[in-house]
Amino acid sequence: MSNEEKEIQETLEQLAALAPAQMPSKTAAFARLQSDIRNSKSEITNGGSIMNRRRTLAIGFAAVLVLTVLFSFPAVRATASDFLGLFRVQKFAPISISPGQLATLEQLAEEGMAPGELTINHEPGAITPVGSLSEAGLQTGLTVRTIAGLGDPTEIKVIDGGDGRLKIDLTAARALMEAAGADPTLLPDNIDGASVHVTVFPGVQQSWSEEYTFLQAPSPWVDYPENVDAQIIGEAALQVLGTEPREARRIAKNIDWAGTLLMPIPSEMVTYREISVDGVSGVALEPLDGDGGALLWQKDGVIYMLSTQGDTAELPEVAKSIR
Amino acid sequence: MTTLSDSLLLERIQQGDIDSFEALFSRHYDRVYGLLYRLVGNRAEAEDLAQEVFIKLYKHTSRRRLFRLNRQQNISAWLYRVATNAGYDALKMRKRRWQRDTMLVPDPAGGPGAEQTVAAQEEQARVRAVLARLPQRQAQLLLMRQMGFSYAECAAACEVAPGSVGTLLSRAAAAFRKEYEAIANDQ
Repeated sequence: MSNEEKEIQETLEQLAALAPAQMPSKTAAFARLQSDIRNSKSEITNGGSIMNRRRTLAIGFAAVLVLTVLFSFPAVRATASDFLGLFRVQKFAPISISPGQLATLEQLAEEGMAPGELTINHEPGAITPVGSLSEAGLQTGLTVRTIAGLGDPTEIKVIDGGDGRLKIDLTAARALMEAAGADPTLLPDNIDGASVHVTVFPGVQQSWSEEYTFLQAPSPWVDYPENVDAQIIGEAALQVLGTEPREARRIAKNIDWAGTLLMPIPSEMVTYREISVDGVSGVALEPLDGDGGALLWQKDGVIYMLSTQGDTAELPEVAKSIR
Repeated sequence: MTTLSDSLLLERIQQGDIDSFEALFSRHYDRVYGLLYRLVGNRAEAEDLAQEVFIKLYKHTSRRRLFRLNRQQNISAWLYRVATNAGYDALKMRKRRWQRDTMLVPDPAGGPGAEQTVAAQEEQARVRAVLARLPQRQAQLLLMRQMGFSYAECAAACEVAPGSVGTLLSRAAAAFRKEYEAIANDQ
């Protein structure tokens, strides 16, 4: 036996210590599985918790986008946004994603397919309640704005930022693209081994009971090598999101990739339209069923999101009282 | 008695045959659970995670278009890949609650025997801590090989060329040795 084989054998013998002493009953496990499957079918049939959870996810998508956009949805985050160069988000490009494509990307994420090695240096999203807007400003460095027309917020929280790095593996990235129905040959050879670094900054969330929520955070940074062609990568990202190749090319040519963030919108749950808010152009998001909605915009290097569980039509008027 | 292949069972499951799903479950449950237990070291958690893996399998078999396209794929490789990811996701959730260097909590009621010595429990915790320091693919290869998976099965689950498994195992063992000595020296 060679030294290497001996080392492998010794290691495997050490790992034997991890084996379970006894196995659970397969019969009981299968009975439990059947019960869980029946319960999950019932939830879907009743349009209950699973659909509500997905709707909340859709409405809160922009919130996740603002503060943890690149860490909430593995396949989308890694392909759509991580290739967009060193920039601060200046505007959004909403892109519809169909239920079928969403399911495909979810499955690929569950299977662990990724375009490279993702390292999260600091996990974003930790929430800390604070007592005042000035305290929130001190913790985040923001000049915190508020919705004066709603009065004092009932809750103020600071949401921690984070950062991570993606080292691109061209083979894996192409495999992911192919599995997602996109053209893997779009990706140029020179991105192999390239590192993309993403930083999401701390933000402030203000709530007025459960009716209105106002989020603000500095725009995320994405840092990528200069020799990477952002337009081509953007076109690849659009295809992964399910955009037809010709349309993806047309959109990619017309987007200013130096400052635009792709915003995947699940088409079965949410509609979007461009809207004027706070003196700039933003996006209004509304669920296809039920109440609630959000306004999303960027101004002076800060991303804002104003959301409601009530009537979306009131949001533009509410937003007028931002101070 | 004829044993149906995983692919044939999958085909029957897609036609609504629950007995075939139970057969697939029985065939793979022990190894899925065993892999998860080795990762997380806790029986209840490993059982919960195993349930999640098979629920995912059930849900994906109902997405006929996707699984028809992927029918030629190795279903067992898919299962162990998903199980490994589930185990690592669970470990990441733990690390968000605890300090990064905390030793994982040993199974209170059913680790390897009530008569297990303190030294044996410490060794188990040490081995698990070493595994946590290795890249996921290296840890997965070592665990699957230790569980008796063939080189071909390891290759399929880890998405590597079958011919490279030996070399990758050797590197993984060397990395394990290095981390083990580092941890032992720290203590």
